[in-house]
Amino acid sequence: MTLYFFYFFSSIVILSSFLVIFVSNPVHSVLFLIFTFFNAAIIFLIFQAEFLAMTLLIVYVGAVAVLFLFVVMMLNISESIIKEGFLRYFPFGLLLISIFLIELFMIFYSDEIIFPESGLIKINEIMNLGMNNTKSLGLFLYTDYFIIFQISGFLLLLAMIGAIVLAHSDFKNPKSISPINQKNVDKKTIIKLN
Amino acid sequence: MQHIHFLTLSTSVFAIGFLGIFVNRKNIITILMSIELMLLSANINFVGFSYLLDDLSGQIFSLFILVVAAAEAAIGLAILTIFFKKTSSISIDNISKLKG
Repeated sequence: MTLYFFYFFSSIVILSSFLVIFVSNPVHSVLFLIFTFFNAAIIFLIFQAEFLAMTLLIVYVGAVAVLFLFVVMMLNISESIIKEGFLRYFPFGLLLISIFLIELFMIFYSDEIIFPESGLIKINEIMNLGMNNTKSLGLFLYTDYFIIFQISGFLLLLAMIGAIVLAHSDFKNPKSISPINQKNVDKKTIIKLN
Repeated sequence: MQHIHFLTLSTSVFAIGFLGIFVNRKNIITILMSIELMLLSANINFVGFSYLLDDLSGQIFSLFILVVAAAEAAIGLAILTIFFKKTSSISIDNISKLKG
């Protein structure tokens, strides 16, 4: 039963990610990206990763996809430019990707793949202690992976500073009013009676 | 559920993202979305192996991939807006103007 659910949602993921690429309107493309992430979150739920599924919804659908949608609508791109050069690069890309896929599926179907018997952090043992997915993730994220967690937080800070510096480049002619100038206005200079 | 199921899914999504970079040579936004798809396929792989091998480390690393993807999207879109402000197009052909 779970397998059929997996087949259903994974086919939706593949179909909608195809549509992300081939739809000509960028707004529709972003909306299909959101749909892909929704179905990927359901696949994460099938894999019993509840926290990551909800994080995927919050981070991707709530932040990244909305950011994409905002930029797409702000830039006002004409559709005719986008479809140029489609046939020029498509066969080359198809050739490269078919080579890549053939190589990977030869690896997947070979009998020489050996999986390790036991993982580092066994989920079953943690679940038997009465913890849920979120609690066990936090338990190991804040202890064993603490340094990486700090580094990833620092990476987000750097990304925020970088995005602000890049987007706020025109300091010369700002549209906003300086609060100091706004405060120093008095009625004698502003109001004129003729 | 065997490993071949989610490996097929993640490989297909990765291939579609890879193809999207080649198909949309004129549009940077779709290329950024293709990169997001490729990162999503890496996430599916991590979570799938976490389920298969009964190991929580895969989910933890998937969380870090989410962080990197969010940072990458923010920086990429900031560069895109400033590029559009300078050249009033988002064509790949003009991207050499980023050298300054």
